[in-house]
Amino acid sequence: MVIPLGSNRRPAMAGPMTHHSDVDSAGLVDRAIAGDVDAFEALYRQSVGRVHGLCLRMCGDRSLAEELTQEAFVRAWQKLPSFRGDSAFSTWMHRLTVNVVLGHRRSAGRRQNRETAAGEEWYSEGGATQERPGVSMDLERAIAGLPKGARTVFVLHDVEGYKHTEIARVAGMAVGTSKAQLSRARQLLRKALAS
Amino acid sequence: MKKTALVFLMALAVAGVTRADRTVNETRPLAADGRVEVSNISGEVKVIGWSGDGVAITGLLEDGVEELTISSGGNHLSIEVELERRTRNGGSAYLTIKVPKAASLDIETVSANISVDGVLGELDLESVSGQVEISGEARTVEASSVSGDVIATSTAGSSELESVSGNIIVRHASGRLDASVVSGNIEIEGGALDSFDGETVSGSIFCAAGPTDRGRFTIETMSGTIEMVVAPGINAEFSIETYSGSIKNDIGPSPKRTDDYGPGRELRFTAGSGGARISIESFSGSVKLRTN
Amino acid sequence: MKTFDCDQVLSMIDDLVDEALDEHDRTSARSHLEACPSCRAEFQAATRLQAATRSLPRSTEPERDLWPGIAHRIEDRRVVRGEFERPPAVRPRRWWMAAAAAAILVVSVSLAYRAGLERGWPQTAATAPVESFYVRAAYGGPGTGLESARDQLRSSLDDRRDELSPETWSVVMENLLVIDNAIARIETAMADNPNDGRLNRQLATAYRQQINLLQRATRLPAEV
Repeated sequence: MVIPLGSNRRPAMAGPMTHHSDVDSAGLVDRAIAGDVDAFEALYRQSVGRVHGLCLRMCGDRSLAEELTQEAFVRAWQKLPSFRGDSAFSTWMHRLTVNVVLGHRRSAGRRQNRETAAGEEWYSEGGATQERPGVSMDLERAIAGLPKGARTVFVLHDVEGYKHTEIARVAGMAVGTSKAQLSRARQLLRKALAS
Repeated sequence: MKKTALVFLMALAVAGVTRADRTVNETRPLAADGRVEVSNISGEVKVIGWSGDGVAITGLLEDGVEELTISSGGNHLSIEVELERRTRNGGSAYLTIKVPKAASLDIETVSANISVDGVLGELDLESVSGQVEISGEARTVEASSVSGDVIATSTAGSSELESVSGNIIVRHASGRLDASVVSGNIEIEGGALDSFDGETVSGSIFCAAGPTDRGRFTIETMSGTIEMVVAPGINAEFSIETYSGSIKNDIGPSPKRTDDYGPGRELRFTAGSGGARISIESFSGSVKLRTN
Repeated sequence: MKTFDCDQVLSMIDDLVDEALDEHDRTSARSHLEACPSCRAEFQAATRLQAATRSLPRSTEPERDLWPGIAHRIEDRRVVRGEFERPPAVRPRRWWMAAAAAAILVVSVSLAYRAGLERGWPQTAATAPVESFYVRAAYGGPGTGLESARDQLRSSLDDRRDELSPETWSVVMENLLVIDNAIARIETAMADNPNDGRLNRQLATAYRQQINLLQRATRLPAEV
């Protein structure tokens, strides 16, 4: 098995980045804005777990998640000058990632392949999911198997703590649609976990 | 989830198909304060702030444009023109894009001209050889070209305008203005500014806009000429320095030599009750203050 | 108190779990749950799901290091839009160098600033020793790094010659020359008037403009 290069830098497993690391990242952000690629790499190392985790859950496909993670950091590098520091870097990066995932475009062929493969990836591929114990493993698999709209809303609302109004705004849907999708997602998950 | 891609696929796969210009007529939703990114190489990008909902894109894609890709996600819309890889003389795309007034823009072109009218968010506009033209009271403007002119009319927020050999032309602006060129000229006419920083190496600077009550102007050149038209009744402190250029002043005292033996001239005086501060500095360029 | 039937309660389960019901509805729904095993089971499943969801790790490291791909694209991205017919293998290296040079530059300006304050103004062929705050801040001279960073930017720019159109290339070169001429003239003047603060400031400005132009030019999108 290939040991991921970033594994020794794995951050705490749950929860958002701590306030402390955001204090550290303020200096890094300034340096990165000035063109310091090393500083940006440090920001990447700090936040890649969060960004990748979000991408993976939202799209349910490992290789696409890696692609979107890279896209998010490339976009972040370009957008850094517009980061005003009125939110934490991790928060800003999180929003940006959501936008990248929601807005990404794929070629029709790749999209089809991935839609059908989604959900199975979690069974067949080891890696990130291997070390998780039973319940959360089942839950991850069930989330990955949700229809796309329901999965998006579920991940943003229940995992990431977004409000329906925020989801409606970033995903371009009505608040009622967001609520309906969440309800559908939860029902499907309850069913999947019960069986 | 909104994920729409409009792709004009290469029709070349079908033998014998002649490609011709294609027209674009698309609409997409966008939050009222959303951000629109446009990337085009050659042709034109014209953006207009409107009170309608969402974004309306019309235009023309010449032969040689491989695809126009539009992707959106709620508060974000990206419009990219990609040229065929097989041709070295890629085609031009002429796009007119209507966006909500409060939107922000991020536009990048190579030779395509950029014009933005009545968009009030943050504007980030960059071209290599195209002209960049902005009018309306955007919150912030960052506009740059290498050889193209940068033209701003009635801007009111904070504007940073930059060119290398192109000219910077500003009319009826207020707020804050930063203008920097190497060999191009800077021309500021009309309006009253809270701050103006103007800088050239060899280009000349013409300033016929006044400072607000406590406004701050800093105007610098190496070898260009600086000409400032001063309104009668202005209340400002002037400080003018040059190493080897001349100073001509039609509105107050004459300049003094800074050194009895070496070159160097300076002129400091207060017009009216002061308040605003105008600092002008040159290496070899001449400086002239005049009333209309 | 209102009484709810099973359908009504099942439709409220989400709000019940999210604690989004007002007190009356909550009390009524709760009392239905106490009396109805099937609705209660559904509610418990929803609560368990919520707890399991909350315990999911929000962070998942990718299995491979994604950084090299990002580093590759960070600078590459600026050119890719205007680019066609170019072997992809060649670009990143050059862009990487340009990025590195720009990064070095940022660091060197501050190094030059500090080094200059400590050591005094180093002599170069073109300038007499000048005790100048401004010049030291802008131009460290040999050994302080800014000069070499500038050379690096220049060589990155030379590498890009065939990516820029001849017109853009000549605009950039002509304007670099305009700045070089200005620098030469100021330096000549400084040889006669080493303590002129104005000249020191102007020299600093000229160096800043030179670096600005070099940086902008190395970052322009490729045109051909």
